[in-house]
Order: sequence, then structure tokens, then C-alpha cells
Amino acid sequence: MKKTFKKINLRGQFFSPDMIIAIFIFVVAISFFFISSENINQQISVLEERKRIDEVAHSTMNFLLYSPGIPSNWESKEFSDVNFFGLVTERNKISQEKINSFVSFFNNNYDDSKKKLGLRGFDLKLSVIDSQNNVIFSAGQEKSNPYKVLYYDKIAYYLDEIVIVRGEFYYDN
Amino acid sequence: MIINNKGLFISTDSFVGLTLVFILILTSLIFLSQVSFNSWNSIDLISATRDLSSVLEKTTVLENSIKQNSSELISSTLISTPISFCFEVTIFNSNDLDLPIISTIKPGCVKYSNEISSVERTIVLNQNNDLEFYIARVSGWFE
Repeated sequence: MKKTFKKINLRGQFFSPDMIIAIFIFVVAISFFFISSENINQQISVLEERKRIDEVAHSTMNFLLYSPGIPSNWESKEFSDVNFFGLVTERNKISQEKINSFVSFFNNNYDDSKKKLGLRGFDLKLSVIDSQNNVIFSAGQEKSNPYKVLYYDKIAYYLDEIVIVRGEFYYDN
Repeated sequence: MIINNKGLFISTDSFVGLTLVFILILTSLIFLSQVSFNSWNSIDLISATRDLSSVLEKTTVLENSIKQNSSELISSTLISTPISFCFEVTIFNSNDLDLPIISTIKPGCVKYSNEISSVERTIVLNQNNDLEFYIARVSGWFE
């Protein structure tokens, strides 16, 4: 009987095709994970930012068009006595006195008016547009190179005519 | 038995396992990429529909349309609403909720959307000392 002995190379390395395939799959999976997690993180930060702007825009516009303000007769008070602006006497019905006072306060004390509306870090331009697309009231400041702008339109009526109240929210990062 | 030392060990089990892992990763990525601003859009739509119904009611557009039995007044009001929104106004007599007496859609809009928000208002008219009850339905969707 012939005996056969297999030579074992002690200095050899274990580097089989199985190993190559396994490492390849592992590297692909890891890179796929990092690339996709980076994309997801970016998406989440964009969504978070948008959510913050949306919340501010919604709450500001809703309060302006659903509430008479605090105090409710703020239009006849001094600027320092106003806690929050509201443009309506009842839901969606814009009051002539309130909108005139708002435009005056907002244009003369822009920064302080923004603080009363809770708009820190934002700039606001508010326009009232009639059915012929004419701007009948405009208050606030338009920013030239903003990081982001959110246009927010709401339906209301002024002197028994339907109007659009457009809030332009400018946000700098 | 001859054993090929250079052979690859790719069993059915490992193949099925790898396929499942990739399907799982792909499915989770598809779900995560679907995160969008839809929730805010729904709030905007509901809010716009409520605002319009409130405006139509308080400016007596609905009341006058019923008295004139015409949709022209409503149509001319709907034109002035924001471009991104479409609206339909349907008015029923409370005795017959199947057949609308007035129905109109904002000019340039087609009623086709996955998401429609509806608000109903009751209108009471005194006609010849008789109280008539009508129901106005305002539906809104994105253009």
C-alpha cells in the first residue's frame, strides 16, 4: 500500500475565493449602509427645518386670521400695550381698523412687531390681495437673498369681498 | 470520491439568506425615503376648505346663489381662491340629499385627486314665511 502525505505550507495565508467573496459582500454592505444613512440624515435635517418653518408660518397666519388679537381692541392701544396681533373681528373677516393699524405698526416697528408675533429668526411680508390680483395692503420686509422662503396663502374676506392673505416667510440658516 | 479543493461553497441556504438580507435593506430604504411633507399638505387643505366655506357663508354668497338658483356667484368667488387649490361647491335641499340644486367647480379644475377635504354648512332661508333648509358641501383638493 502506497502512503501519500500532503505537504502543509506553514507560511501560507488563508485567502480563499470564499473569503474574497465574503469580504466583498461585507464592504458593499457597509458602504451601502453609510451612504444610505448619510442620505437619510440629510433628509431628516431638511424635514426638521421645514417642519420648524411650517409650524411658525401656520401658527402666525392662523392667529392673524382666526383671532382678534390680544387684547381684542389692540388697534386702539399703544404699540407697547399690544401682546399679539389679530386682523379679524370674527373668523376670516378682516377688520379695516385692525389691518390699517397692523400695517402701520409693522412698518414702523418692524423688529419689535416680529417679536410680538414670535418670529425670531424669520422675516415676514404680509400682503392682502383682492379678486383682481391687486395688492390692497402690504406690510413687512422682503429679504433679497434668503436661505428659504415659504409662501402661505389663506382665504379671507375684506369689506364683503373675498381676498387672499399671503404670508411670505423668509428664513436665514 | 474526488474533492475539488478549489471549489466555492455557495449553498442554497446562504443564497436565500443573502437575498433576504438585501430585500430587507431595500424595503427599509424605500419606506424611509417616503418621508415627505404630506402631513402639512393635509392640514393646509382642510384649513383652506374651512376658510372658503366660512367666507362663502359669511359673505352671503351661498344664500344669494340659492335665492337666484344660479352657480355664477359661487364660480366668480372660486376664481379668486389660491391657484394651488381646487374647490367644488354643491348645494342640496335638505329634503333631497341625492340631487344637488346647485353644483359648480372652480374654473380650470378637474375633480381628480387622492385626497379630498369636505366641509358642510347648513343654510336656513325664510321664503314666504316658510323655513327652508339647505346643505352646502365645499370640497377641496390640490390642483
